Amino acid sequence: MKLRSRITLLFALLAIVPVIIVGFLAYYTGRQSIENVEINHLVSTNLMKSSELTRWIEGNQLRIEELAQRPLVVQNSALMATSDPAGPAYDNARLDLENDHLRPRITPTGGFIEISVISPDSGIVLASSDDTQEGKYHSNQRFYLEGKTHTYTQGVFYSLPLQQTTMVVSTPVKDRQGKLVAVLAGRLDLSDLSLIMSAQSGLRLTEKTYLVNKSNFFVTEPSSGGGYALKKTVRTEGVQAGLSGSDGVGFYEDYLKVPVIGAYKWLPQYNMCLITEVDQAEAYSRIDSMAATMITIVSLLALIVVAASFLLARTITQPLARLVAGAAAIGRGNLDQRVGTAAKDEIGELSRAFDRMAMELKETTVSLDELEQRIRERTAQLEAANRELEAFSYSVSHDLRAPLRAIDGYTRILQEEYEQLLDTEGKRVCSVISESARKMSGLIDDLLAFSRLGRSAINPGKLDMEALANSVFQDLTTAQSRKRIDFQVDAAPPVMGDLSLLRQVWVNLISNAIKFSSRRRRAVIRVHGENTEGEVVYSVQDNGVGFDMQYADKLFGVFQRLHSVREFEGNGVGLALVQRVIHRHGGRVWAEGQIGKGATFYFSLPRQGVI
Amino acid sequence: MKDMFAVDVLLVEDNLQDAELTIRSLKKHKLANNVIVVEDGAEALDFIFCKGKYAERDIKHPPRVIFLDLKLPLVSGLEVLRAIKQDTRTKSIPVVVVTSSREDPDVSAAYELGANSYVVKPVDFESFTDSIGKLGLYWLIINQPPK
Repeated sequence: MKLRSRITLLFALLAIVPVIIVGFLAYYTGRQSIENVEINHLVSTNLMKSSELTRWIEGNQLRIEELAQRPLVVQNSALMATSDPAGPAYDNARLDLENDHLRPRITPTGGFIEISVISPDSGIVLASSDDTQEGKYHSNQRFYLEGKTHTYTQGVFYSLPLQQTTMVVSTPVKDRQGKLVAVLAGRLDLSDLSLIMSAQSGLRLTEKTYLVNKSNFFVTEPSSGGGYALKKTVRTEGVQAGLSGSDGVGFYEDYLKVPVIGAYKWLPQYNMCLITEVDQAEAYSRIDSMAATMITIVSLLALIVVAASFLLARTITQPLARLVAGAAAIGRGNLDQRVGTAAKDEIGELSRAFDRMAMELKETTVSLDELEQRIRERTAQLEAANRELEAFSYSVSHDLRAPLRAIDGYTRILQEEYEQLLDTEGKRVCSVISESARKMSGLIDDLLAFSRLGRSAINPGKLDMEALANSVFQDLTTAQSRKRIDFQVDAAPPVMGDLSLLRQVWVNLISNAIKFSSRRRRAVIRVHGENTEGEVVYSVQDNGVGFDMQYADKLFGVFQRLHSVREFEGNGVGLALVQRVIHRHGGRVWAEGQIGKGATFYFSLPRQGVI
Repeated sequence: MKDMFAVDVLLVEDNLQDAELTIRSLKKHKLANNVIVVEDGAEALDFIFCKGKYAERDIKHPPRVIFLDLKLPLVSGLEVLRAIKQDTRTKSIPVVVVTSSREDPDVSAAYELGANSYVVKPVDFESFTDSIGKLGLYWLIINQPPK
């Protein structure tokens, strides 16, 4: 992964992860507190509703008790219980009860739907606000049996005689002696209950409170309506829990399959369960909207962080990228490339160090170029000088020889054509002139040879020096002259060098040895060679006239001679030529000698080829 | 001026002493019947190609041999040699390059341009006379020129 992506990712993670964690914690805590609030609210709603229910029931109990204590109700009830149902007194009593006491208690809104006076002996309905109920038996009904002794409320149940679900409040009617004369039972209007239950207690739109009886039927209409009361069963988690006799809170789906938070409360005295529920969606709506806001904020934050870290990464990686590009450019040979920045950080320092390197490299390269240029110029100069020297040599040989030829030629003409006019001395002078001209011609030839040998290119090859020395000796001597020369090559290791030039070296040294030992009756010449450190040293030793060591440094100079021409002929070029050739091979020359005892001439050549 | 139409030897030589010694050498060998000496390359060309003061000459009567020094004023010996050997009318004339030096860098150039011979003038007069005599003998008598 590229450095830029890594930095961006790292910063994004560092910035976003804590925000997400904090956000999640906040959300979780908020949800938790909202749940607590909701639960408290639902539980207290349940308490409130149950107490409202109790109050409603107690109110109705009071009302029916009040009815039971009316003297006329007691009197008429007693009368009906004791008189003949076929007699007029019975009917009067009944009508009196129904018209004056029972029916007035039936109100269109709330309260009782129907009130009956039931015989304490048979359980038969003696009188009722509803005529259709007269004559019906309630002898085994709970409200009847309980109602004989005390005021009793029978929770919602299905009444076979009434063919419907109902709720009944009953109370005994007793005369002054405390004798039970009748049971007064009032059927309650359950829609009243629905109103009480469904009355909104708070601001929550989806909150609903309803009662469910033991048989899982809705007792009251839930606020969503739909005629569920006493027609539909409900078996939600909360309802089952409540019907099992416990109070509590739960999270579950309600009868409409909507997730809710529900509080359930078992009402044992009425055999009913009180349920208050609120939709989770509404309960959590605030925290959810908070979560949505938070997600938006986190997303925005993430975007900002990514953008910022991308920019940051770029400020880091851009100089690096420039460095890389610069390095590549310099690698391609563009030494003028600069990557330096004024940045005070490490990358800035690196880039400046890089520039310094490129600069130094350029200086080095430039100086190398200059050096090469200088070498080319110097070579050109040398070549020019060499050409000039050649031209000079040519001129010398050509132009110096022409007058010499004239001198010799005209002297000869003088000698030949004017012979009679010249005396002996005249003829001797003429021959001296001729001799001098020829000698000068020889000097010119030697000088030119020296110049030519010094200039010609070296063609190195491996040379068998022993064979070379021997062959040179053979060339320089005749069978006759060899008789008086003891010539021997001890050892001469092979070496790298130019054949014709080194041959000339041997020629000059060996011929010198022969020449300077020519006065000996027996000339001894020894050629020797040995490998020393880094070079091979050769020597030519003779037992000739030798030389004075104080003049040793003059031996190798051009035209330098230690002997007169009358003693030994020669132009003084031979050793100078030897020195020149050896120097050009990277070697050295030197000599040892003693007057009358002979001389040894040494030369060395590098062992690693030639320079 | 000698007969310009029947020239045996054209001697191109700027050194008059050399020219004189050459002529003497030829005479000694009885070969210098008709020798013309010109002192520079330009005059040599004029003579050979019948121009300038040699305009009356007929190019159809070339010298039997040319002794040519390479080191000449005005036009060098090599230029003269090239001109002679490039022209079909003159290229069959034998040209002997006679020079003072073995060092001459133009020896090989002279042969490449078609020189028929290359001779170094000896300083020693005896050798010189001998060489010139042999040259004259060979080119004027032994050698058979084209018809």
